[in-house]
Amino acid sequence: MKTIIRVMLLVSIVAAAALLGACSTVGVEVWERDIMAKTEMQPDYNSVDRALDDHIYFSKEASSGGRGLGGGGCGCN
Amino acid sequence: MGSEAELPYTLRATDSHWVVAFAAMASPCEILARCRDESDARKVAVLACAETARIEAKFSRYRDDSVVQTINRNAGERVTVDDETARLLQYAGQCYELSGGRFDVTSGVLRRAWVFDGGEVSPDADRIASLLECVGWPKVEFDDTGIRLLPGMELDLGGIGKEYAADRVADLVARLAPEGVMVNLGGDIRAIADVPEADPWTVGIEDPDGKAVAIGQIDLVNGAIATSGDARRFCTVDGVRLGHILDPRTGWPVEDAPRSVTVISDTCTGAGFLATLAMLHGPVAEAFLDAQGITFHCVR
Amino acid sequence: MQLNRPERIRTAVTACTAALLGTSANASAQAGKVDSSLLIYSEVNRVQAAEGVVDFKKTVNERRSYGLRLVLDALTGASPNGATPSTHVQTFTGASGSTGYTAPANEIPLDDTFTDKRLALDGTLVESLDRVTVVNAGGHFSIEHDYSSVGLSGGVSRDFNRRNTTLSLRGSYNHDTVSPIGGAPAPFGTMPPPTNNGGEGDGEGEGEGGGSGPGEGKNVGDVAVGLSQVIDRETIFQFDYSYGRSSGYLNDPYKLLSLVQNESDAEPGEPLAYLYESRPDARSRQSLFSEVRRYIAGGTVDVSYRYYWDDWGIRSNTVDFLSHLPIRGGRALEPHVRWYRQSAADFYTRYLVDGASIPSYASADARLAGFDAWTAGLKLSFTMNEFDVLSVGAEYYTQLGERGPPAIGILQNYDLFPKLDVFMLRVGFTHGF
Repeated sequence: MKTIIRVMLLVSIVAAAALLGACSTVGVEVWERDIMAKTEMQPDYNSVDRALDDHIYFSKEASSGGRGLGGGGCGCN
Repeated sequence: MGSEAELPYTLRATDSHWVVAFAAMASPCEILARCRDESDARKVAVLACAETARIEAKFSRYRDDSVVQTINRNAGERVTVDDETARLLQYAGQCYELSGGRFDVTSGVLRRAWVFDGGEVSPDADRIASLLECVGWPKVEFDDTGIRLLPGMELDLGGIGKEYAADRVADLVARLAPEGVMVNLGGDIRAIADVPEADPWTVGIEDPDGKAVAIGQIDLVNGAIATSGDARRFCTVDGVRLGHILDPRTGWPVEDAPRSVTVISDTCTGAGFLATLAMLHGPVAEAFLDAQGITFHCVR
Repeated sequence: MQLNRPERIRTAVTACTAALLGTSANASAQAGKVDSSLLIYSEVNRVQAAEGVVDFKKTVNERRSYGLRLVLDALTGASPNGATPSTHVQTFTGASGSTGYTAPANEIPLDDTFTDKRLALDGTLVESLDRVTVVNAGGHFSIEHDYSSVGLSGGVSRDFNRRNTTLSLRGSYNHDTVSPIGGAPAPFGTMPPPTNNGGEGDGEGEGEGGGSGPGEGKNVGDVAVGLSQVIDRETIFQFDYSYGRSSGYLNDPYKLLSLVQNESDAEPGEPLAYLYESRPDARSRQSLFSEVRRYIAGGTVDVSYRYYWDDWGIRSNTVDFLSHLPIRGGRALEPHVRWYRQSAADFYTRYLVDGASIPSYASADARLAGFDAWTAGLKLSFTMNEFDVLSVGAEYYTQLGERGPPAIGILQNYDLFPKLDVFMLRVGFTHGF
């Protein structure tokens, strides 16, 4: 199982690096960012709801984090 | 930076607003501001003169120590640029793309092949061809922090600078004149008012031939006016009158360009770009302007 | 030279000049906003909680903004204590050592003596160093009657490729103090019987009650690397890798394991005693997260996947689907579905068997078990004017335990996983200014 995880990690890192290289050719011009500027496309859209969700799942499940960082501890887990 | 000698200005009051007058960028400049009192009006004057002088010193082709001249003198080498210059250059690149290559800040060198005093000229095709080698924004290496021109290339931000200054000055002084301020730098105008019910400024559009009668009138509260074209600068080739706006793709003046184009839009920089681009469309300038859905005046 | 109608470039010009002049081209550049939200959380027959959040964000100038968040929550109710059911009524000692509580026969024992209030405060400062680089720093503080946490976090992000690609690095460090009522029990210590007279209890590891001891410490550190990429006009992609490490006191001081009679005893599966759990004092965890958000037909669709693994043997997969669908009148519907599957921790066990050697670590906390979880919810939002949005939503969350190997003795007759059903109601209000 550990080997599989190591392989997956390696593949992800290689994929991420390849993606970063390919990234320079992908994207939009400044004047094509109208949709990206919409509220519901912002990275912090629904951030308060997401934070509440993360707190609930942190106290009911064994996994934590992934999306952004943990904001701090609580006694619920 | 460059030497920024303080610009002298005059300040006078009318019934409804203050008027600041000074000279910069080879043009008469005027700020009309509805300030609370004389002390605020003085602050407007000082801020406006300082910002205009700063932009002129930084981006003028005619100042040896300007950022633009530094880049030009070091053509062939990479020059690091600051945030503001990077943004202007990025904007210049976007203008190039949006105009299909007609608007090009590297096209200034082409003026060496032409004389626009109204007289007859015989253009030298070889000279134009060799100058064209040093024209073309795609030849420039530009990233977020620096720029490298090919040897022989030159940047000329004259087509953006005055309009950019009008927008910047207006932004800076707007809070001192919440009932409305209008910045007029040699015909490039930007007005801002914080309160929605502010009175408009009435601007007359002058006939390019200099006749006293205004050919149009615009009421401005929030917005900008920019004009492209100058009737006094032209040349004649084989008896045909050609304006002074050069098409960077051919090296020749644009054929059949209007005598002047005035555009009303939300920022002076944007209005200026559209006005210049309209001129570069020559005979179809009106069709181009129509397609943009803006208010404009086109004089032939 | 003109082939057909001239192109309309005016919107593009507005966007470019806005970028040049440093103003926001689209939505009105807001000076700040306040997000407030109230959550009512109700587990069927178990914990009830209410949580309120006020989140304040303000833009000071072109370069700087800050945020403050206040969270208050209150919970009460019953929670599985880790012991297994029995055919007899069971009695347990509550946290303070004096009060006891009982569990009816044939039911998973629930500790209902617990009630808590919590206050958390977070502050963040965000500063643009230049057009493409942003740094942020934050502080965290939270307190509840048997737990407190203090932490710092920071991060930097940089844009590339005409701001189509953003790379970010983030880190945080928290120090938590656990002060269980009655002191932290010794791992695998036997639960003493309740004294029921309000006095001090006797037995291993008991303190003077009320969390008045120095408390146990716990250090939690996390780092994460993130990549955000605009794919095309409607699509944005996010990828994160994070690593975290906790060390110190990681036990749940209130959770027990039943020590049950073995096959050769009189009543196999019935409890003989209760032992406090024991977890390792360190934990390393990692996760890979990716998300795609796409604008489709006036609305958005967001799908994300997270793979998590740690050195306690837990592996989990999370798939999350969220959509924003505008409907007439400034309203929008947001359906949400989430699927989660986790594998059990290496030292998770439902009970300990008398006579078998005690393992180094063991816990019967259902949160470390293998299970699937589903969330389904719907939110309705009303945009009241250009500044205010009101939203109301309901969600249902359930956990379904993995079928384990056959249990011992009488325990075969019970479903040993404390099935969880939760209903949630949320009301939120966002005010921009």
